[in-house]
Amino acid sequence: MRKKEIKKVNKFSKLCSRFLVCVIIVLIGLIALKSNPNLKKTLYKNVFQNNLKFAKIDELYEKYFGSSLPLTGNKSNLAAVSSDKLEYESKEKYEGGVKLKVSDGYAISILKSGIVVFAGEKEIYGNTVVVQGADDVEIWYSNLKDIKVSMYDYLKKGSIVGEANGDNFILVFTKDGKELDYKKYI
Amino acid sequence: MERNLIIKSIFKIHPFYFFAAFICSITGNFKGFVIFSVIIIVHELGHVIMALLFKWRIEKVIILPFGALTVFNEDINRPLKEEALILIFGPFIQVLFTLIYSYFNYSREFINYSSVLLIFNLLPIFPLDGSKLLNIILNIFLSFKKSHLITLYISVITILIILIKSSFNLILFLIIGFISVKVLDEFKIHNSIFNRFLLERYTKSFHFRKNKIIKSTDLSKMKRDYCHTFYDGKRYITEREILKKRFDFHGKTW
Repeated sequence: MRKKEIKKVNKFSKLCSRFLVCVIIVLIGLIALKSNPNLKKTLYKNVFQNNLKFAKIDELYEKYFGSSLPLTGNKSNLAAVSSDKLEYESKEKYEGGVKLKVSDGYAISILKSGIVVFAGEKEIYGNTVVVQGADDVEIWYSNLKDIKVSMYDYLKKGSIVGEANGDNFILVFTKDGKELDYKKYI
Repeated sequence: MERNLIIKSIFKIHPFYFFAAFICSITGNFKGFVIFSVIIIVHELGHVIMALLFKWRIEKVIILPFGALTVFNEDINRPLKEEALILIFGPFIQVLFTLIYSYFNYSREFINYSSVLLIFNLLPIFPLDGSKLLNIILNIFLSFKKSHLITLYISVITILIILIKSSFNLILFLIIGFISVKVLDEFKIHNSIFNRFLLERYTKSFHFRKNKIIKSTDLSKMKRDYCHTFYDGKRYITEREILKKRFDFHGKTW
């Protein structure tokens, strides 16, 4: 009986000490952030804004060590595939990207294979899917009526991400958070 | 109360699992990894539930990145029927879970992963379910010792075929390494397992309905689920007597 009680106390004190260590680490981190605004900026940028370069690491890993989920074969292609070329009537610059005029309900297929790092609504652009390619370029497919993919799906070139909302949709090309010139890509 | 404690402490996570988790998180395969883990745990729960129903002692459940192992600490002479049911219930629950899940939320990915895990698990390699099933089937026809050895040889052959056929894959090879070590260990303790099989029969009283006559005094011809009578050319000897001869040293030590 007595032995059991001693054991219980041991476990409780262990838990307490772990909790205290966690508190100390958090406090040290907070103090460091408060005293150094530069650190805060880089941390915010790297943790809350930029994505890890999943597609690039995945490509490298697959090249040397094989698939990270063995025996499942190639990355399953969830979305339906249509033609891998975009057909549009006209294009014009819009904010950081390019607005393409298409027929109503045009199914948008992606230009480059990669991983979906964002699927949701963005200001100005509307419903947006961001696909990160193996070459670090993130392509935004915006102004969609509905989103047919979900976060962290690996998509192949030509997979359909959704339909255009009305008669146009927007493409934005970014790399490391900076917008690129769209003329190079389409 | 005590049973709760047992359930809490049986799940052990192998370091390979953490390694695979790290790899999957930097390559962005979160979804696949989570699906894999859920399917593995459901599969293992199938075994555990059935084992608890039959009151088998579970030593631990080791969770690996590509499957899991339920290690029992139970008599070898428990009925084959119970072992077979415990074995089959894992894949059965997994298939059921996959069907129910895909009925409510159809996803080709989920079915793909589940079928891959099922096929891998049913390969005849020693700690996997496939080889245990093979072992049970062999035990129906062959002696205990022979079927144990054949299962191990088939495991080695299957491992070699996989190694030759598949291209290099780090995680797959880690798992095959883990399995190979298990197979080698099993080879090493082959004789002691056979001894345990005999000793259990000697120390505990098992009752088997079927009887088998062996026309020699060769103990290695003994079968599971059978009671034996030996015939040495002159007279019939009961199993009990022959085991007593083997284990009772009358205080002598060598």
